[in-house]
Amino acid sequence: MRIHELEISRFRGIQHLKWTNIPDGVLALIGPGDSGKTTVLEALAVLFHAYWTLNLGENDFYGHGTEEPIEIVGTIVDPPRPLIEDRQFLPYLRGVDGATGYIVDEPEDHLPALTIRFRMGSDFEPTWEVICDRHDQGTRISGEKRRQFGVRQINATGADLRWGTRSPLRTVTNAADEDLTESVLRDAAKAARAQASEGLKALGSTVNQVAEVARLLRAARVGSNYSAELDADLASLSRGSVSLHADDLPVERAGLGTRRLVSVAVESLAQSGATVLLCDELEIGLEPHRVRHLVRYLQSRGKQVFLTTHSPTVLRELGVDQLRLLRPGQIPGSLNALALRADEYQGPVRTFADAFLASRIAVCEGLTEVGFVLQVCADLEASDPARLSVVEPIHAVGDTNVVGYATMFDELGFEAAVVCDNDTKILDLTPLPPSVTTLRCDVDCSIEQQVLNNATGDGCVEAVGVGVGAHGKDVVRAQLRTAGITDDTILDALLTGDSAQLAEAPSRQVAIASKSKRSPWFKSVAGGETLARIAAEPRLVTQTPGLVEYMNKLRDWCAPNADEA
Amino acid sequence: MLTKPEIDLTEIGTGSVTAPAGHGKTEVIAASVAAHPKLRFLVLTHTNAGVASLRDRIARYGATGYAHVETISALALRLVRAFPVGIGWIESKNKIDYAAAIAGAAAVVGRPTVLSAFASTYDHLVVDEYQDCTRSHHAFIGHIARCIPTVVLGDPLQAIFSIDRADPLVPWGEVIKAYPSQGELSTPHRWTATNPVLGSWLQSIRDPLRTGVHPIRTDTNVVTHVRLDRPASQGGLYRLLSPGTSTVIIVGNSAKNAVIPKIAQMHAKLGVSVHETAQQNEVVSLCDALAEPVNAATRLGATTDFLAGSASGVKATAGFDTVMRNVKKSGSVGRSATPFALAVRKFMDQPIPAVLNNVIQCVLDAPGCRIYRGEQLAIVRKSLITASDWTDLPEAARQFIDQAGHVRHLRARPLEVGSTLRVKGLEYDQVILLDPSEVPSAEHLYVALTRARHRIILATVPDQGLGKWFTG
Repeated sequence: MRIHELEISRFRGIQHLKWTNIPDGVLALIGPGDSGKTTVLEALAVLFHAYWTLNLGENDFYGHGTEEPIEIVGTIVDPPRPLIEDRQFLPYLRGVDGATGYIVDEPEDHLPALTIRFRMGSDFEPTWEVICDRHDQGTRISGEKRRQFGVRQINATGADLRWGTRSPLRTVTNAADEDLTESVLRDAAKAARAQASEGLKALGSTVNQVAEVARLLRAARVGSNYSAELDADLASLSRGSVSLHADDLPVERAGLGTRRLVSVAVESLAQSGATVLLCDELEIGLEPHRVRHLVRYLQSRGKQVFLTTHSPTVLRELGVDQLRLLRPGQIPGSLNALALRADEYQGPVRTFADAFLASRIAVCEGLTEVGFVLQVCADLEASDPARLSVVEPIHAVGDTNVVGYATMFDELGFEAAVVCDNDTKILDLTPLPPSVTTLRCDVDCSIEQQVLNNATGDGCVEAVGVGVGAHGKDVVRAQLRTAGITDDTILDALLTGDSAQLAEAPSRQVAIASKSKRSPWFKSVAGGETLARIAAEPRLVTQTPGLVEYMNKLRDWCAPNADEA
Repeated sequence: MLTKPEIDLTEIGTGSVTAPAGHGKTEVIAASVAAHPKLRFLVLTHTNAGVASLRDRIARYGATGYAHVETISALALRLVRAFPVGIGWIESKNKIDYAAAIAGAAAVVGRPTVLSAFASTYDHLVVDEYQDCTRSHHAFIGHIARCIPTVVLGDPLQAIFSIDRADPLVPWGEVIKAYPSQGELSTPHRWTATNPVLGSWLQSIRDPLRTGVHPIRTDTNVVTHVRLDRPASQGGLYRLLSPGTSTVIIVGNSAKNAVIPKIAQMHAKLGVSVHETAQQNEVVSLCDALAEPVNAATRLGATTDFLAGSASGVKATAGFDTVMRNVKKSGSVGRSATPFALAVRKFMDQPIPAVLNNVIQCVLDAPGCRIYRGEQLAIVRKSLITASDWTDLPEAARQFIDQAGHVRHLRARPLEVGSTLRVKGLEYDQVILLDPSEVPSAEHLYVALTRARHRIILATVPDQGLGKWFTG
């Protein structure tokens, strides 16, 4: 059995979404918060909800408007046999073409399929029907039959780990064992009563006082005996009182991760009837190694699992064809458009797993830019509570990859920007899609030059200090000489950090020296961070209009006001 | 109660069993179903009466849940309604084209996906009365039989249903090619308690009839030849009949159906009635006519004509001729004050269905009136009472006809007259076969004769002999 197609209309944050040709296996919905991932899972849970009680209200209608009904339509390939038999839903049997995935209303030689529609209008009366194109009317499908599809939500609540009515554990327990439980509980109740009776005599004086007045009021016969007893009948000691224990501790008291793993274990038993599992935020409560193991287990099951995740670990475990991206605020009409193409994206997903979970991506030419972006964001968040960093900088490893990655993320619906130098003619940004933001240095500038060209004497000294720290005085002296500083007084002043000796700050030469190919001063994440700190400090760098403009552009894009984000 | 079936049909796999009349075919099916509580059976037959009888017998074993029993037509209709588009199934509101439904259903189950879902519902298919299957029935069943072990039961000597010339019955030779013969039921159970001699005589005539080596000798005390002094349509059967006995009069030539109501009418005083079929074509055409936008006089005329064909002595009702003549001429009743005239006047004043029923009641209450087609009359009257408007009438009638068809069991009433086609499957103590020389085929003859539990009378008119089938 497989869910083949899903169409959601006017449900919570989703106005309309259609997902066709849904494959088998584990499928992860990814994207930043509030992008509708959980709503897709909830829609599936509602569609296969096994009981009549359903807690949906006005807030579950898109935009809170109840004029038009919530509608969830799902098509299931290879549904459980008993449901498509004669005198069941055979009149509504549809087919799916194995090659194209198209739905055929009257099947010839196709995969058998059924389509179910959930609807709830302003009367808040939910209806579930099996439908097809050839019949004007659908036919109702009962909760019991919806349950037969075996679409189960992994909730891992306490009730899921007890033998109460309708619990997953109850489902997987055979009838004989259940009867036995019943009699064991009856005996246990009896024993508990007997055992407590002696100890509860401590309450005797109170009981006697009550009994005396009660007799006066003729509530009780003279001579009737009042006592305090444990009220341990089967009502208080039901099968719901029996819960799964590990090492004598109830599993429901364990962490969410453990509870979730045990819940998956219960639904994995053949007799649970579970086919499709729904798991919201799979990684919650689990360390990376347990997440990894769980994903591998679910993969090996070979059945459909719909999950949402914010975990790079989960992403790295899955093939790109198993990922579906959802974007906030721009929920697409079709999830299919977002299926990642394996050949193009498998590498980047493994490499940039974190980026796939962000909403904005800064494609950085080098590590300097990565560090620079991180530091700019950190500074801004620290100084301005209204700002929120939404950017994930990624290292494109060289300018030749910048355009490719930025285009890829843009196509996937991410907001992308390129952060790069402007000191070579090689990097041509013209092929970039117009929606990609360009955060490029001024003409003829590398990022070091963009900052240090306007360095004050102190700024020059600071920068040289970074170089010396990394490569030693001799190397840096040589670099500065090559960059055109021949005056030993100036060189000494720079290398000893005595900025007072500098009549004029040799900022351009220092900038050139810093980006030396062989021994660069800032070509690391830490270097980039230092460079960003220097740039933001007026004592070190003169805040020229050009620099201010560059920095603000970077700040605004990487860490917009929180309410804009 | 649980007896081992004479033949366990599930052991056959796919094949056929020849089942002569009265040899316990229904019993074999029911016992086979009851013997396998874990298997799901689909049991198909041709008529609602057959369905009712099979369900009855299976219920007596307490095995109702193991088998789904349905007519082939009903199953076909469900299938074409389920998948109407590909086969272009358009259903008219008034009349269902069952031949088209069977052909359409064959196409529907010919689709692998549908067939596979359908077939997974059942472990065994049993088709009863297979000799009545046409070529298109045979094709339809054939598709299902590819996926489900299928046993067909029937008797080529009872193959008389051939309504549609374009779709003839499938020859038994072809049946056994698809469903290899697994034997023949051999005990004439029906006659062990009534007349074993008749039972073995009926068994003995099978071979001559099958091979065409007749005439058959009638020198046995179970078959009597009676020469009538005048044709049955002129009351010739009077001395042969006594009221209340279980007797069926079968007309030799089933093509001469028109004679059947005449015979009933002539012998109505003895309580002879027409054996009615479930289709009730005359009811349908009357109700269709009444639903037309015509005046009250026309409706009255159509209804009294129908009445005259359902009961004897209608036109002898006091004031009948005068009133009808006046109404036809001037649209008013005239001065007559008979109960009939009063009823008609009320109807002319208030021409609605329910008031027309009062007119019918008035005629039936008249002394000397005897109903011989009670079922069709009852359906018309129920429809008139139910319908709020003339246009509702056909739909109401159809519902009552369907109901009657479903509740109808194999039920023979005393003293009925019918054709072989109509009384097939029923049993009477005595069979009076009229004009045996005119019986068109060995199959018709076998069906007619096997309706008898105790004895058979071959009745001929003066200038007629026993003909090719029998010798004295």
